[in-house]
Amino acid sequence: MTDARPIAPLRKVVTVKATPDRAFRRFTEEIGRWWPLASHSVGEADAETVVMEGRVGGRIVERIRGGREAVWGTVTAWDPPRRVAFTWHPGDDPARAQDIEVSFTPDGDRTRVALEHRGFERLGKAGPRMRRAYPIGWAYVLALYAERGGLFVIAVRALTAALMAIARRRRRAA
Amino acid sequence: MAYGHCLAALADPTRRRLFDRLRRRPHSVGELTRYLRVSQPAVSQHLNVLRQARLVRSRAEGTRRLYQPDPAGIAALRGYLDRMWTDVLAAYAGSFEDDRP
Repeated sequence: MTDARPIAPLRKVVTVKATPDRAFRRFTEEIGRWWPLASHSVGEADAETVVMEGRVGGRIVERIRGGREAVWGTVTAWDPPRRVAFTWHPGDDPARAQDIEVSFTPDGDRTRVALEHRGFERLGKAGPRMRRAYPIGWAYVLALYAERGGLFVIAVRALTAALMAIARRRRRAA
Repeated sequence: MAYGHCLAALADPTRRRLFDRLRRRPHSVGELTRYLRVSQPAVSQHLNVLRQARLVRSRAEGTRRLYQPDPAGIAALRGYLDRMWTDVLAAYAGSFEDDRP
């Protein structure tokens, strides 16, 4: 059965020309300087900036022309300059959040930055709560994307929905 | 680029609703027609697009044909996320190149 395909975390590594301290600050406080908003945002062409509030409970929030905001996630671990973790639900309901963790390790005069995107399995477990939360998120997204259908948001939503379906079927089968 | 087809298929709001509906449980065309309140040929057409994108697959159950999410499309969407983080981290790493020494 193809449903046995593992829902493995996504892992990415990049080495940057900076100290861990600077690499951490650039990823977090200075996220608005480098995040490719034009292609990876909720507001796309209307996206103005993205801000990460540097504390546990701080939000990652995109500011969109016209005074709108889109929350992408909430900081769950703040350990400069070693580690930052946050929930991840751009354009989606927080109840369907996945988890991102980024670690910063010295590597000579550079820093190795490792990103993990996980929490796909978790999605299948909170079924009833998520089902209740879902129509709110959906209405919000449809209102914003009825015409444009931004890929950044659609991909995350579609993947989440599909992975939830698989996780639920697996749970039933177990 | 398999995810390109998936995302194009899901760019249509009706197909997103349809796909979202299928995540709860497998549905027949008749059930989907009642849910979406569009004609049966329209539902079949949407299902066809989703099936070609490998987001949805069908199986026979007795005399009925049931539609459900297809893991192949999901793997493709995961490919999109993979690519997304590659692009994002490239932009991040590139930002240090622009720094004055």
